[in-house]
Amino acid sequence: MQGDPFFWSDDNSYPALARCSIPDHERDISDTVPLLAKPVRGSYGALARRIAAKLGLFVVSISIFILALILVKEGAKPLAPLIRERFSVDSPASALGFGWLSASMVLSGSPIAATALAFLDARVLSANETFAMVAGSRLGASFIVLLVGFVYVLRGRQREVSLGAGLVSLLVTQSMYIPILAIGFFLLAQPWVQQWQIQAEGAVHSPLDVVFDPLIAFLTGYLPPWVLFPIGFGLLFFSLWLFDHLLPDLHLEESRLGQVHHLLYRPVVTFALGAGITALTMSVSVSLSLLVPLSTRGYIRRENIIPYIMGANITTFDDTLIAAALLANPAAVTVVLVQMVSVTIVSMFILLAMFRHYERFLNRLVSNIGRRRRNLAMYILLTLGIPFILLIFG
Amino acid sequence: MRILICTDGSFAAEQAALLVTRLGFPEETEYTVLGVSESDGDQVVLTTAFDRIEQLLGGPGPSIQRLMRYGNAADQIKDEAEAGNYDLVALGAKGHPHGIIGPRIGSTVNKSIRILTIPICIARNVPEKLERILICTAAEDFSLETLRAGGRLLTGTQAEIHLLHVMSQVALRLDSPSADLRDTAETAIRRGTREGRHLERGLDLLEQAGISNPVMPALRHGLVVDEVLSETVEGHYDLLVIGGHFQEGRIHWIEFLLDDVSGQLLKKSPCSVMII
Repeated sequence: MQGDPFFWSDDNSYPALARCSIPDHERDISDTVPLLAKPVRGSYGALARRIAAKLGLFVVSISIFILALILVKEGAKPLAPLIRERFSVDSPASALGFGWLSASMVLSGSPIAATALAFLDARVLSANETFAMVAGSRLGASFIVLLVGFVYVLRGRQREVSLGAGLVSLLVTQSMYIPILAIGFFLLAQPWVQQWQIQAEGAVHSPLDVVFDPLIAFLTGYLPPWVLFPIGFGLLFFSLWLFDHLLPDLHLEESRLGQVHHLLYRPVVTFALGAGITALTMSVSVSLSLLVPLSTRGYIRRENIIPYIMGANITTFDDTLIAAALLANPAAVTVVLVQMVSVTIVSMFILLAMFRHYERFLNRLVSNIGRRRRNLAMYILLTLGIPFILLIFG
Repeated sequence: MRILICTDGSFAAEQAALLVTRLGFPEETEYTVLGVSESDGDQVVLTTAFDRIEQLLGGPGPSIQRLMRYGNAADQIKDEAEAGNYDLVALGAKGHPHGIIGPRIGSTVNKSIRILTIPICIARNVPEKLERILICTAAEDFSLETLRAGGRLLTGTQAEIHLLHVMSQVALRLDSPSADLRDTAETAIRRGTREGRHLERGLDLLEQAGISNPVMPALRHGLVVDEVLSETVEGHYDLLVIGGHFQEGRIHWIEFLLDDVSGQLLKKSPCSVMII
């Protein structure tokens, strides 16, 4: 007996009923979410032009991404004393706090993770510190969701909606990262892990250094070297924004994935789905937003969202892995791979050994945090306070 | 109506017969007591069990038939269930619902619920009288058919019946409608939400199936398995009626992808479970 979905409601199977029950202003939200462009059904010429445009955009965005990484790396070198002494980023704990706070402030994890790799390449951070900063970037990445939810609560919206999936997403990440950090540090200390690095007899240079070195030399001739860091960081953001426009043309509600929210799936299935979709979108929040059109009311099942986020938390590092490869720094690749492996180990352990307990625990936690405004405020303070403590005392 | 009661000679199997008597089936109901012998020496035990079960059903009579088969118990039950055009198969639940290691239900039950295509009843902690029955429903087309079938099987009982739906949704968007996530059964029905409409339709179907007692709707929010189990415990129910039965014609890979919610409920339920 495979669990037939007998106890839970679905938001699409009775579209007529659903429409009857939803006020006009809350109806048809799927139509208001322009996920991605629809597939071109026109002539081959139009298709070819579209593919060419996408390829062109890809080349431009990857070039900007590489340039941004080099600029951040070059700009970070003179900033090393500032980062290590003024900001006290001189230990894995402080690097964790630094990454966490930075991601919370810039409202995104990927640029911070890429910056951490650039710091490693510029020898500002050690491998362990880089690993911690990349982990911190994940912990801070979802903070915006919580903050926006809190603002909505203050404005009188129901907590159930204001916090919703965002709080679950944040808690999944936060609850997993203590064992992930422990496993990651353990793995990085193992000599055999260093074999994951590509060994070369001579110095390894990215072929793109040849292209960008003259540009960097030109810029440093006119600008103080540290200025390259903010310029590079801005370009990192811009290139990641451009990447978003390269996502495959896909309407989930028009595909077989349109059934995804319909039923309660085995956790390992939604885990794989979260990993797969996020591998394409490179962002957990974008990946989650892709699910919105699947439900008339914008709901997702509690049972499905947790393994989905766990899967998404692994493949969201694929842009960081690309950044590590583009830096041509074997240690950076190792750090990202260890990060992904650690997240995978913890996720698989939870999924296979204790998922129902974990799911229940998170559900209770979400309820408790959302029950009172005071609880929510305390949680936000903790989420902001812990990285500060790590940065100051770590 | 035709009922198949399966026995391996155990106390659990007698509980199945006891549960059948509590369901108040009409007098013209035909009972077949099936004993499956998986090894030599079983026959004596099974014959004794037949006697005891016959007594539970009111003594030997023309409406009770004895049947002994040989081989794998689950396979033999399936063969007989398919050949005999039965309306319900009754089995006893071995194992303890709160076990930590190993299966919490017997292997025959475990296999039977996966291969049988007709309603199946797993007896556990059968009381003197069925006081309260909990029927769970989803807002899906097939659950309406389940309510019809379940309702027909429960027409003879005088128990208080509750119809439960669990909403496990959380909002993905800030502009998702929030009221639906706080509804009780009463407010959902009054506001005519999707869940409310479904509950209302379910109540009608149960009435049409022949249930004369008033049926109380209930709506809970949370994890499906946990909420159903909580309702079962808090409400002191004697029988849990659920869907989730194997559906013929469903693509196998879909079956593989779906979560085994019914299996989880069956393992953890403190009372008897009827799977439609």
